[in-house]
Amino acid sequence: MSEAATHHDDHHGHHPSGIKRWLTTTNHKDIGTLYLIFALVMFFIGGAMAMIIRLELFQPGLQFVEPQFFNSMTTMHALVMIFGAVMPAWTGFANWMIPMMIGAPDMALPRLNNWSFWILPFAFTLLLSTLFMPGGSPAGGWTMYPPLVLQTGDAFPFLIFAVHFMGASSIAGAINVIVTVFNMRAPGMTLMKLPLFVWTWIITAFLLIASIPVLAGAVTMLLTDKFFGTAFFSAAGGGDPVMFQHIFWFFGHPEVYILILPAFGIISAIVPTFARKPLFGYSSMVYASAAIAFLSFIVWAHHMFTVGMPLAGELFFMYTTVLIAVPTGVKVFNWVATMWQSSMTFEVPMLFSLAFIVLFTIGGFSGLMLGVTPVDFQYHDTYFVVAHFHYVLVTGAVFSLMAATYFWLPKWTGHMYDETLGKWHFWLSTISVNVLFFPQHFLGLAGMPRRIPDYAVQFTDFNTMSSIGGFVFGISQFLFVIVIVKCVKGGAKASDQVWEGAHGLEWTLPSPPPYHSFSVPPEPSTIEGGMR
Amino acid sequence: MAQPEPTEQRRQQRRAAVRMALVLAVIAVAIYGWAIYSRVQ
Repeated sequence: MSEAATHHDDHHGHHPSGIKRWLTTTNHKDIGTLYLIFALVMFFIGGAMAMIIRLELFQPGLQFVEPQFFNSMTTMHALVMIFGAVMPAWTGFANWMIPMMIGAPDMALPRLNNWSFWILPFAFTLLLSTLFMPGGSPAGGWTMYPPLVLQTGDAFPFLIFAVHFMGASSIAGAINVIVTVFNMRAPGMTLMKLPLFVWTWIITAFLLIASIPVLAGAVTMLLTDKFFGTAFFSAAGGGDPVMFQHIFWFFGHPEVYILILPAFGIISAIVPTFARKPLFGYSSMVYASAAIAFLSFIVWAHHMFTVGMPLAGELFFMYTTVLIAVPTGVKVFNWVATMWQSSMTFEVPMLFSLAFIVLFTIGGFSGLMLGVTPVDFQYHDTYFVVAHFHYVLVTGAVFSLMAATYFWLPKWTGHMYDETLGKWHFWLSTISVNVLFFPQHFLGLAGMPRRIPDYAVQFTDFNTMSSIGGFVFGISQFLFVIVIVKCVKGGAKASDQVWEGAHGLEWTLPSPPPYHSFSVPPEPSTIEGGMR
Repeated sequence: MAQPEPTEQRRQQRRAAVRMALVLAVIAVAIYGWAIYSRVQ
């Protein structure tokens, strides 16, 4: 390895250009850029599917698409957004920022890094190709519950192998993050000095390694049930379909935290910067993240309270679920305490972070409601659930991704983004996203089920409102692309520190940073505590 | 922007990183195997 590493390093003196640069790159910034562009493309593909869903639900009755295709859209929208947009976006940020934040020249395993990314286009080609297959795309929901999912046509093996590929990519990415942080930190960068984005990413990476293989196992068993005569999940053969739900959610709940923990890290970087104060309660943030990660493995059955479980099981999963509010509350209070008596300014990254804190907390509260077993029987499989997880994933994960993009774009490109356009993007997104998702709470409480293309007429007004919010939110995202393209092409020169209140190693590098971040480790005296 | 020769410390870091990556990969494969094997009756 050492010889290979030497050779590898020499190699970068003259890196190739054009398509070959991107195919063969082992550079963390190039790979980070690839991940982020891929995620943005998937965000628009998944978004287009959401537009079809909201178009069909604009009015009651069937207007635009067949019910089967509608079900495909809900299934594919979820798979594309979770595995194609949010997860790769986080890996993109990890690639770009972690080496710069810990004072390393690159990721520890650069070739594995290249491989992790280039699996993804193959995985999503497999998945999206099913749109053109006999029998259509998978339509049984992203949760792939048997026996329904076994009715999928030719698309079935494509779905399974796409999930396997996505999983392999995620595990490889997670291994790379862990070994990088544990082996490549600059001298003086102790674990408790790490920026919180790095901390939350390490914890996310451990969640990935522990949970993705379980998903892979579950879908492998689906595959053998369908094609090789096994009966893991078939009651007729002595198997148990409910067991799939347990196995799936043993993966699925940690997955939720895989999507949101890096967001906590981002907000913990942005709030102190624009509040011009150190983060309140750094160590409690680290422990709270670890506590959330631990709890995420013992709450899974709250996704399936209505399946019929012993009372003791239902109580256990209710209590553990409600317990998650404690470490999450620690985080929210710490962000608020950081802002208390501070000198805040409201640039776009800060605006998205503030929206995150308020709106994610709304999603957290509706999550608490869903976690209470007796009332979950009322809410289960209704639009209330849809409203809940879109508050945590759109105004949570996606808003923090946008905050992070605005925060670091000047560092990456060397140019300031267009603040006016950014503010338009923020306000249009924030207003429309609430018009889109807030009425869905009311629809759910009134009894509208999720995953249906048609509904009873009394649900019309809130659905129409939700669809209008959805269209405005969708169109607003083109502003995001315009801001990014404008910023890449030019704009006012960004300083190295970029933001007046920015602290941390990444801000000591030039904007844009050199191809290799820290060829020489930074002086230990320049390393501040991670609360900055 | 030619890179300097990696130092001995950097080589050791890389070796440690590869060792740790292999351990993590084995853990992932073991969890995958366990997820399936525990369902085999």
